[in-house]
Amino acid sequence: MAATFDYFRATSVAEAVELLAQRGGDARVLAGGQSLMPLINMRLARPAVLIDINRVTELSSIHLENGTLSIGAMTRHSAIERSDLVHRLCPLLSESTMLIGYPSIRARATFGGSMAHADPAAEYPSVAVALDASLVAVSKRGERRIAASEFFSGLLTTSLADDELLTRVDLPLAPANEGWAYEELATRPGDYATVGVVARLALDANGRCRHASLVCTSVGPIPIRAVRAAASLLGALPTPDAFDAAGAMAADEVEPESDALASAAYKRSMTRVLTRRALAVALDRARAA
Amino acid sequence: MTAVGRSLPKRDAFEKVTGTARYTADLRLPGMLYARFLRSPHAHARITNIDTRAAQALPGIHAILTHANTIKKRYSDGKSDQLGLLPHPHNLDQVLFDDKVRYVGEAVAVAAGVDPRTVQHALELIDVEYELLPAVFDALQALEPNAPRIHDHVQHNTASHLPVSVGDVETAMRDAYVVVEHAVSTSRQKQAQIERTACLAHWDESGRVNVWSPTQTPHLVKQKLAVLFDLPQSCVRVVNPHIGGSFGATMGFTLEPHAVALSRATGRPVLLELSREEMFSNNSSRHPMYISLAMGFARDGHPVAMKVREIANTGAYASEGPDVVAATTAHFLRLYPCPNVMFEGTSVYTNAPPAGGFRGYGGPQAGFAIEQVIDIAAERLQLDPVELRRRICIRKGSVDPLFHLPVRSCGLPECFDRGSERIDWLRRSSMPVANGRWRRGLGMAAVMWVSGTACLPSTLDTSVATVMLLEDGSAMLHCAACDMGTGARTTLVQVAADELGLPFERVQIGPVDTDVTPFEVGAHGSRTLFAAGNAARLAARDVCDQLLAAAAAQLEVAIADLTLENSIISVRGTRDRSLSVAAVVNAAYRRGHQFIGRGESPQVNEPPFGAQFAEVEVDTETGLVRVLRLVAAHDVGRAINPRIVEGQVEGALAQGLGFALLEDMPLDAESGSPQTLTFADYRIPTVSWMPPLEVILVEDPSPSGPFGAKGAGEMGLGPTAAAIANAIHNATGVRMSEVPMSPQRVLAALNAARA
Amino acid sequence: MKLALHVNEILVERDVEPDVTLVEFLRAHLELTGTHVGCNNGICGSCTVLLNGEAVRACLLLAVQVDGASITTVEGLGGRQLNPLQQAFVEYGAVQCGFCIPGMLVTATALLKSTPDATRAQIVTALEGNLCRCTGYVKIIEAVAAASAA
Repeated sequence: MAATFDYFRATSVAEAVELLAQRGGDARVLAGGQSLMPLINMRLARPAVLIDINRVTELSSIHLENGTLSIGAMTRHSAIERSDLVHRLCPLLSESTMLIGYPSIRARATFGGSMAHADPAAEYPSVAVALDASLVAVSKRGERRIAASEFFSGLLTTSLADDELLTRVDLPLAPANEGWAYEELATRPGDYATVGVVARLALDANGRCRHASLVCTSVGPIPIRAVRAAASLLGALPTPDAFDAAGAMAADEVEPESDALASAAYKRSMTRVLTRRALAVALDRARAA
Repeated sequence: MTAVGRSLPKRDAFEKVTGTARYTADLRLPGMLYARFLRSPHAHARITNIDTRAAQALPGIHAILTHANTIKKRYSDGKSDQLGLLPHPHNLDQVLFDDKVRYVGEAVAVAAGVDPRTVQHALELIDVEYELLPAVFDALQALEPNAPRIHDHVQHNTASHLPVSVGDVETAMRDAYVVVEHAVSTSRQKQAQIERTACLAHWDESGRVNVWSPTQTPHLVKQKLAVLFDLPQSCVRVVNPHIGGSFGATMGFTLEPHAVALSRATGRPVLLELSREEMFSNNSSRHPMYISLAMGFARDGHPVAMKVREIANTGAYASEGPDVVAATTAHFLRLYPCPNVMFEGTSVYTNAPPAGGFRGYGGPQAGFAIEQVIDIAAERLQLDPVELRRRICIRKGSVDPLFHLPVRSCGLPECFDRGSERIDWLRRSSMPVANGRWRRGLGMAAVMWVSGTACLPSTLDTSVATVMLLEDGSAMLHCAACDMGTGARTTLVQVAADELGLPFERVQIGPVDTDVTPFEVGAHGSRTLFAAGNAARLAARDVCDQLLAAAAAQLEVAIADLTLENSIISVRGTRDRSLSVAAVVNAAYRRGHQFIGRGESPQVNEPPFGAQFAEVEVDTETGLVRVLRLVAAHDVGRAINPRIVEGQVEGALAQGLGFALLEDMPLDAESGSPQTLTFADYRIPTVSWMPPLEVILVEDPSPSGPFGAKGAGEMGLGPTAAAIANAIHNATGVRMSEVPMSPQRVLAALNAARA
Repeated sequence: MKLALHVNEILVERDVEPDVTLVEFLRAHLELTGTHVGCNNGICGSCTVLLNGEAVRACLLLAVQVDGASITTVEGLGGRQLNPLQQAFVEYGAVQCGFCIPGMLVTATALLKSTPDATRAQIVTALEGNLCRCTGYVKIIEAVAAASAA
């Protein structure tokens, strides 16, 4: 019986972009396959065309340029895990990598793939939003920079056009004295988050909060920035009460849905708890820095 | 050197670690076709039309079966109609295909073709029209007067109703010093074995039906197929390839009837398989139960009255439902004898996926109820929970109040002693321990089970074994005892080898193949090592008797003057008058005689016992429960192979932990669709989630088990959830009434207590 | 599409449709049925094989993707004799039904290759993505620990 899809193997970005220009509407890009292949095997995704970019070596890279950590879309999670550069310059990314699945998933899964798949329960999209990342998309029409906050547009949906290939993610480095944390509630180690909160916190010379950012995982169709909760901390003293108040606000800003594992109400409550915990850990790191 | 009591490596481990072990889906026959089911997306509907023409026309499709072209003979996929546990009029409520579907995922068609992709394509071309019917998924709702009827001829959706009444419960409850009440509701736990169920069937050219299947009950499947397809049983052959776990999911029928029907329709061997999604939506589960329990206690702690109301959701078909409910009486009415009892157990039809047999067989559900009630009573009576149980549990030498069987071995006191000591139970008086948001506590629970189903009211429990000596004095054991990973194919050989006085290496076990093995009911109810072991032992003894008789004739002595040890038959008290077994066998061989012995399992039963102790830590902000340690002390009578039985207990504990904290397959309230169809959503314990396990094997030998062994496979699942619930109570003061005890549920209980 | 790769050190050349997964290729085309399909969506780990020495899920790879690569399956771990890791699995009682065992062995093989003195914690982390329903994992960890040089 004939194959259920046409398969093309790209060996360069140009080749991939050309294929997308021709067949993009029916195509899915095959990177690590850890998210796409399960969907294909269960017949939940039935692309007519598969464009395999695993041999596009130019997309596997991690480098620092002008205060920005650039990670190629085909960089495997395991490479990020092992990268000294990432560990030093972006420990939030390092640590969140360890929360993802388990070693044989991380051996194949890719940074770009995780972004393009846009699972709201996944760790990387939230980290990208928290770090104000820019995602670079290439098509025959040219190159486009998309802010992380605009990249994730809906459940498993991004603002990538059918003919666009995500080539890299640029992460601005956080200031050295900024604290960070990723607190996650997972049923078992390695599971997708039931709820997760990424916190960034910087203090001014008087010990008051100069900058704060909160991004929540698994409590909406996309990573949710708790804007009001973060704003409430500006200029404030970083006390447990302030953190709890921020947590309560964050719990109002998220849009969780009930599922087999947990109710929406529980996820809201946990948003509050994890926000408080994440801010506390971020504070410790900010003070230590 | 004897084999019994030694941790000999499992015989089948070699092929399993080299990847050469063949499971059902690994088998190939020439001309084999592949088959898959098409399933209903609706929970309750009439099939008004089913059009398979486009699918039939697809090149490579050999047959498509639906309700329009299959026989309408009724059967039960379970074993109750054959083993007769209790008479149930509704047991035979299934057909190959009906014109009505009763749960999401029920099969409406099956297609066989040259390769899986073609078959998949064909299924997509089958057009089914449904007329939707109102559905009900909850057992309590299904009992209501105006509930939709799942089976037209069954009133009140009641598959079975079992009342048990002893003494005068009302008076005794009124006069009790303390009355404790607790109500629980339990989950739809899936067996979740890692092998996806498959079946290879070949209705061959001579008219014999050959089936390769992971069934736990090959002879029962043989019987069922013979009845269903109107064949003599001698024309049906059922073989076990290696089995990738089962835990009750493959008792009785799974895929066999449809695979056989397809083979008959196509004239080819057919391999029918389930996807993992189908393993979740189909393939059996534990019965969700509502149990409300009230117990009255005297001042000294002895139970004086017990009232149980149990409602089990058996799903769309009766299957094992009535028997599971009946079996829970064994969990309520034996360990803590009580003179006045009222038990009312009902198994209820709903539009949920059919539940079936799952290791523990009602034990985890009943245990979650009664072991918490005992714990609550201990608190009210100001007694230590272990101390109360020591006082009121059944004693060795007494008679079990339900089955009236003498309890001739009972290692429970030692289980209490050694388990308490290992976990340092005395620390409990200083609990709970607070550490920031964490609260730590200790809890325990006990269990009493059975070694098989012999001597239970109207049950058939049989194992027959034969032992054959080969011409060089080595031996073959033949029995249909199924090994789903339990190690039975090693431990039974250990038993036979020691009884024969032969080295372990000289004894082999034949395949599980109904063409060559005598009858046995199959692996369930913790019976295999006990009953098949007894049969094997008796068969071996029969061979020894024959050998000794032949040697006595050869040596011209009386049989009583001979001993048999290490393959040597000697005249007692002499050193030079002996014959090797091989020599006796050889002499017989030259006369045209072979030694073949047979043994039938005696109708005996002996209870195994256990006590589990859990240390937990509860995060009072999130409700997350971390199990820090789980100690299980189990009286297995005699550990025929300590490492194997230890592994069995460890596996049972893992499933018990899953039942307690992680696992459920809920249904969508509107559509009845199962919500967890992958291992991502249905969460079983992983290696990094598991707490440290400590297994203590206690041996109080049973006079009736082979070398003293008792059935060890299931009891490990019974007490775990209650031990953890009792520890959560010790840590936080809250009582849990639902499993799994998810963080959300624990937090809700904590919040309710704070309010 | 034409495919040429090494499987258990033997050169294999075939023509396959692109939608054939690696596990299907191994089991159906090469009749190496030791690699099992427990779920077909990358979660249970019973399809784990080594791809150029790294443990990966064969159900999540297309056969055509491993053109030119070297694949090791459970059948290629030992020879006629069991290797020390396989021997440890047998001796420590790590094998019950055996269905998850090939995946466990392959994953442990990759671990011990990169970390010969793997600690218990490292063993647990490495095996996190391999599901077992029979053993409670206790004796599997013990077996890998016994084979570790630590």
